[in-house]
Amino acid sequence: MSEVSAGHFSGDLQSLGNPFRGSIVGDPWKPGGIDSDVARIHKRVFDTCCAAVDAARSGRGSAGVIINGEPGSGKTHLIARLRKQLTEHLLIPNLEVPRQVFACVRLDSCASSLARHVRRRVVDDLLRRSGGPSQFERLVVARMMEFDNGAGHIALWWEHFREERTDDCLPLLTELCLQDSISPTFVQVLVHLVRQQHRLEVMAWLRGDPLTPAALEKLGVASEDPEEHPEQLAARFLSDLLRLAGGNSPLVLCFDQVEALQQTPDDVQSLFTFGQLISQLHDADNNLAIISCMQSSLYRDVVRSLPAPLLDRISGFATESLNPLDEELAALLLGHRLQVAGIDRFRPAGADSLWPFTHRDVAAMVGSTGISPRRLLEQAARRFDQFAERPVAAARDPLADEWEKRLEQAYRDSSEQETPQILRASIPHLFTITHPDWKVQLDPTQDDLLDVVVTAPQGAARIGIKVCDSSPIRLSAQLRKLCQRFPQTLNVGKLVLLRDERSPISRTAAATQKYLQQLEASEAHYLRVAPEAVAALNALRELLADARSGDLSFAGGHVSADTVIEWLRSVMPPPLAELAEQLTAPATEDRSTEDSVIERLQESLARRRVCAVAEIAAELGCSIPKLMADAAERPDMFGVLEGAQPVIFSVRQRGTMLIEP
Amino acid sequence: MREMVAEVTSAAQPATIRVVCSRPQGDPTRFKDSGLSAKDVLRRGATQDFAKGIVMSGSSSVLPAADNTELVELIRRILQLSDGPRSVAQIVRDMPKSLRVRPEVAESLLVEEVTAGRLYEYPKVRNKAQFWVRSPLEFARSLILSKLQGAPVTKTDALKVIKGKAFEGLSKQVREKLFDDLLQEGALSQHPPFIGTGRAPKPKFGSRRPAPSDYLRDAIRKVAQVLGLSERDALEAAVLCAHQELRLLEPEVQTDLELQPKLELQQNSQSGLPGAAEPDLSPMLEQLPVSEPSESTTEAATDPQELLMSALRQVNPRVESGDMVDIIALRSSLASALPGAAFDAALLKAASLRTLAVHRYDRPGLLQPAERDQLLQDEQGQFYNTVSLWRN
Repeated sequence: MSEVSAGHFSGDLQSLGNPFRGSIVGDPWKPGGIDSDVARIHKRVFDTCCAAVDAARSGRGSAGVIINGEPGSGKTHLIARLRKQLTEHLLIPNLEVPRQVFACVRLDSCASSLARHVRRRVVDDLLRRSGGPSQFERLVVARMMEFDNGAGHIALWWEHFREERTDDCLPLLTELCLQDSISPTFVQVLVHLVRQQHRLEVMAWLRGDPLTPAALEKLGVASEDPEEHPEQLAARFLSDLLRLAGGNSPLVLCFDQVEALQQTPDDVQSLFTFGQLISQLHDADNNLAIISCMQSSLYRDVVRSLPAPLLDRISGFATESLNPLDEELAALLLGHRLQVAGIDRFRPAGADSLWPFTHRDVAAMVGSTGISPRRLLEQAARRFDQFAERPVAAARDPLADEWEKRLEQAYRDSSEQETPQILRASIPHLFTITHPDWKVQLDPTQDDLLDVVVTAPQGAARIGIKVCDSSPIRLSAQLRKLCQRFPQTLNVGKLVLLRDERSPISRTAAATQKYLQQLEASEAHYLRVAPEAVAALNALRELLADARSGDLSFAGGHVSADTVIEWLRSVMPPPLAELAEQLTAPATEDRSTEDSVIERLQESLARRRVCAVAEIAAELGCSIPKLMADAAERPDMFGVLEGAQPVIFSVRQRGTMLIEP
Repeated sequence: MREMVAEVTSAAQPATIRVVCSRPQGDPTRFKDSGLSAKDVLRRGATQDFAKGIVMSGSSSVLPAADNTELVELIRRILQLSDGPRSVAQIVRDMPKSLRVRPEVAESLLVEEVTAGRLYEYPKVRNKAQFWVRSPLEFARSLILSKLQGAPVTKTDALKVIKGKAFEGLSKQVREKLFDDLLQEGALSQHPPFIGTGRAPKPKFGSRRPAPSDYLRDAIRKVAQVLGLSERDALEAAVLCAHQELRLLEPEVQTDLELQPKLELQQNSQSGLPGAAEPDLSPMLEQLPVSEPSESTTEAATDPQELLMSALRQVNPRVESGDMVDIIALRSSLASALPGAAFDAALLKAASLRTLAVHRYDRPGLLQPAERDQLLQDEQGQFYNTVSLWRN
């Protein structure tokens, strides 16, 4: 045991970065995310996961594993380790028959759009390229070869196929469709995938993003049935995907942060919805390995809220717990981190691998009940700074920094395609912050009519919120149904329709416009959500999901969801406050004509960016002074160049401000 | 749609089968010499066609021998996972959809397995045959043991649990013998009546050995009744008495419990016991069971660590394979054997010995005080809500 003091070497250590900072693995796909992996930690649980994948591959039926652990016990790290193990072959550009396909879904969503969220995340993972073809391409080609009775190496077969027989794609995939009962539309899109045609449209269709009629025509597929619930469509797609994978290549689905699905800590309905979706996938085929990671604090809720058959599907193969580290494993982890950081250069002769720590330090950190890897690393980081005599950074509000960082990231990643999903998942959180005493219900009618209903205490107000779908066809159908039900039978005092400001409703969508006007005549409120608000909602959703899952910590302390909520209440970011106010404002306010003009102006400028004011005023049927006045009120959206012939232009491009107002 | 007939000869499996299924088109010979196993062909062609009414011929069995084995394994797994006998329809319903077979297929396999002595057939329920992997005798045994995990009951009450249709084949003599065997093996223990019970009651039995604490608790309650004391006062007297007796036996117990300073500091106790003024012993009530039991005063079955391990397995049999146990449920199951702080001390000790791992709970503020008190709390005030075997 080394007891060599670190004091004499503190100056040297200052030149070494703290090897214990940055311990949270947020994204299992992040390259290098688990460089400092210690295979002995949680090896047994890891082996169980691998055994579940093997069981699914061997045709013994789908296998479900629940992994429980306290915050920071290494759940996401374990998924990253499994990801590395199961997808390492993707780095090799050669085409090989996939032994399995792997996807990881972080459940920072809401139960009412769970299947859509899972579909999007699974497709994203299957389309990732890490060097060679994506998992999706490998899978489809392997199945085609299987149906073609192609013997030998798949790469050679595929090379020959691409050169000589590309016309056989459709017949082969049709046979696959017939034998494995896969939807013909899916097969049609797969043909484009393997031929590498219309890649953007293929990706959008697979993800479930809305497509224009022109894009659908390119793919040669019909639009989805607008009458069918989008959750059912997404669940059916996932079932098709499972059947496509076939028995030789099981689909490994890792669900991380299951607790993030809960809108409130006592929300068991979301867990039930999760169980139902898993059960549905489980029944679709027998080639599924499901690994669900959740906090041990959720254990009781899961056991109590899920009926035995659902629980069996999620955890039929095994339920494992990630135990705390004992002294031996803790020393191993610290030693490994130190070694990766290059401590050897600084270590004095005679000191052991733990230097500058001693075994006594480790025992003190581990304590009598053990310690989670994250808490160990956080304590070690603080201790290391003391050894290195690093000055303590000036105290700042870490949550404010985190919020700024996430807001900026959300704004950078902002896409109007994601907006409906973000709104559905985060509106309930918004009310938790702004109106904690209001009751929030998700998809209360279970027919995609309303996404959220919020009720004030004593029923003083009841507001129905509908997030308008990005798909024009689906939106028209949704508004038609709302026209039939609102206000007579919808049982809400106020109806709010939310839509991303960047996706104006086209003037050519006559039916949609007609239904919208009808609804507005009935005092429904059409609210165009600014990109700033969407970004703030997305940041809010992610921050809360991490806090609920125990993945948010500063300076060694875990930050709870309650702390985040309290902090947000105290600072109340303006876009969130404004949106909440608009949602809860009395129902009597009509949609102003300015709004209508702005929307039409926006739609018009989306096509040409810059236009003479006179021309566009004539097009919109309003006077030039009024148009200029309306535009001047929204400097965040429009700019006007005055002169003999004034021109107006859009200051935004795909959510990015081109010019600061 | 035309009918396709394919003869499949697998190099790996010497079984030859004929598959007749409806396909839009296809070259039957493509399956031949394909190098694919019979299982592969079945998976891709035949299993999908099960649902469409696939007809397979050329064998007395519906599937080739190699695949029967897998189907039988599947049926066995379903039955192993079930908590009692299952009808054919229930078994088929539990199969994954893609592997599901017609009930008559499953039934023929089940009958074969019963004939071979690998499965057991139970009496019919609503005219439907029932099957399971465990014999009626084993089933009866597990039900009795399960029943007796709770409070002790009489033999008659214990045997009521095996009066169902499933046990029609077990005569009264067999049932009685089963119970007696369990007693002989030590799986059951007879619990003597509580002290001071008037006429001799019928003996009671339980799967736990009689716990002295149950008898002491009952006796203290009776003392309270006889002397007109509150139960708390009687308990305090009992603790004081136990402490004095222990001091006589093992003087170091006093040091361990650090009782003396408390006794000295709390001479103004409000105890209602007659006689000399007694100290407030409530801290000791919490502390006394925490002390290490000496071999001379405690039986092996009441060792807190053993009690914990045994209760863990009872509350969740899957704990051995890595599952967790809810601490509230565990505490409840040990309410009489390890009450209050004794439970906490035993669990924290198990964690420090690295036999059990306790998992932190970071939302105690969300719980009602009564529920929060049921969690485990350590010296630093950290709460824990689940426990598992310590294995890394």
